[in-house]
Amino acid sequence: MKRIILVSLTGLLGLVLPVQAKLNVVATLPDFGSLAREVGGDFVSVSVMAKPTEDPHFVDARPSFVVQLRTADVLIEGGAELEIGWLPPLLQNARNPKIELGKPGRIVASENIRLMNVPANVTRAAGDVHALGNPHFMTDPIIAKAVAQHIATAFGRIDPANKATYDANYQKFESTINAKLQEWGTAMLPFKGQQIVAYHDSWPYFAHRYGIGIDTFLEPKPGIPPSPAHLAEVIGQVKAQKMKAIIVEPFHDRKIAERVASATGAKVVDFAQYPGALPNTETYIKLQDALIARLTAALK
Amino acid sequence: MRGLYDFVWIPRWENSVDLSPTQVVLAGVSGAFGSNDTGGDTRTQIYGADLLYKWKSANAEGGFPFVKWQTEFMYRRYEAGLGANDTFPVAETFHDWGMYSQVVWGFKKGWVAGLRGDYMHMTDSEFTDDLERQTRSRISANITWYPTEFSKIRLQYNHDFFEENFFLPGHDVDSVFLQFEFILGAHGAHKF
Repeated sequence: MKRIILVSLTGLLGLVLPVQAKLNVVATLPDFGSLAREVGGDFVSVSVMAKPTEDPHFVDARPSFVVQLRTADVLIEGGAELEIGWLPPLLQNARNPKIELGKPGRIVASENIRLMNVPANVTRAAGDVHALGNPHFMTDPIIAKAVAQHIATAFGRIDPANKATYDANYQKFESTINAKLQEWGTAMLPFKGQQIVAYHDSWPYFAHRYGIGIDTFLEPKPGIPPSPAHLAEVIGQVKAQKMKAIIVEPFHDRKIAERVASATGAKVVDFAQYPGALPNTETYIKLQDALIARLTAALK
Repeated sequence: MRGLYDFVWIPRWENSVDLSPTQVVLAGVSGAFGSNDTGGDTRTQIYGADLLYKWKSANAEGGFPFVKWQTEFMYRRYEAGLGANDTFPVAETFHDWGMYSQVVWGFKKGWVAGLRGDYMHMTDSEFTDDLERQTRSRISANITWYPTEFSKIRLQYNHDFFEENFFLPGHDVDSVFLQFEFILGAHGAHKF
């Protein structure tokens, strides 16, 4: 009798284990989702909460996200207050001890990243500033590499049986990024030192990486809609400094950028922080390819 | 204290379905059961049902644009006891119900327009002349501007229809609200 039970149990485990083998990964934003797929390969199943085209500061805390988080083995978030408006209530309702802060299942991508533009004084007078620094760090491919390594280490710790694969996948990603960085750097080199305009201050890391200046914004302050007086000032700056490009993200009002473009002769360039937001950009690397191609075309 | 009978019981069930990546429906039913203060052994039972539909653009900035349609229905069985105060001179049981439905449209960042209809049905009584117990309905329209995430200014117009009951005549009321609200502390996107 015991043998039969044992045999039946083994049979059941045999059925159950292959299903459990995939790590259930939830990423708050599509860039983390893309890195998790690169590193996790076939051993992870990744779902992403925010849409690539929407404003990451204001994602609706949908009840279905609670269900995703409840069954997650791993949660990847940016941290640095980017998701602060919507992630905490979801986590509170999900009550999943595996992804609590400090647990191996919680990956905070901004950990060990030196954030730019940390305000000396946090005041509402400056608009929607992030107290911990600018959270849009994934626009720098070198930082993305560090985040991918962080994810690989965390996956290996949670799922030691497949650690070698995660490490190998990371190595592959790293060498692709390294090769691409040469390519992107060469393409951007002729434009070093040029100033361009952005709708929102999402691009300091990107600007820093390629040596361009993105210090003029259509928003008068982060999160504050453009006013006519401010736009008039921007038009003056664009003309004076002969800026050639205005980058806008899918969730920004493109018409405002077009108005400035027609008054100055600059080109509107559709940009995005998240893979999938522009055509043929479903991975992080494809997105960077597209951004460099679009920007260099506008700056020529 | 007479045991569990003295507690107020408030069950709630809700469920949500994602119709598409940009559309969500949330439906719920709820209840509240307990004693009321009009007598020694008088009870109130409240049953509610609600439905929320929300669409938010896949290219939403700051949560805009969006459309929210919200409807709630509520039914109350109210045993009014005798003698707690002068409002109810005889013991009566009322079956009151009401509902509202509203559509709000966040058409531009910081701007929301709304349309709402309310209806409240009160059991007519030949004994109580309580001014609150008059069947009424309202239609209202409003527009709200959020200058920042901490403040809002709302202009609202209402037209109310009060139906005649045993004691009170029917009449209409027009009203205009101008509302200013600001908050300090936690808000939507940031904790500080």
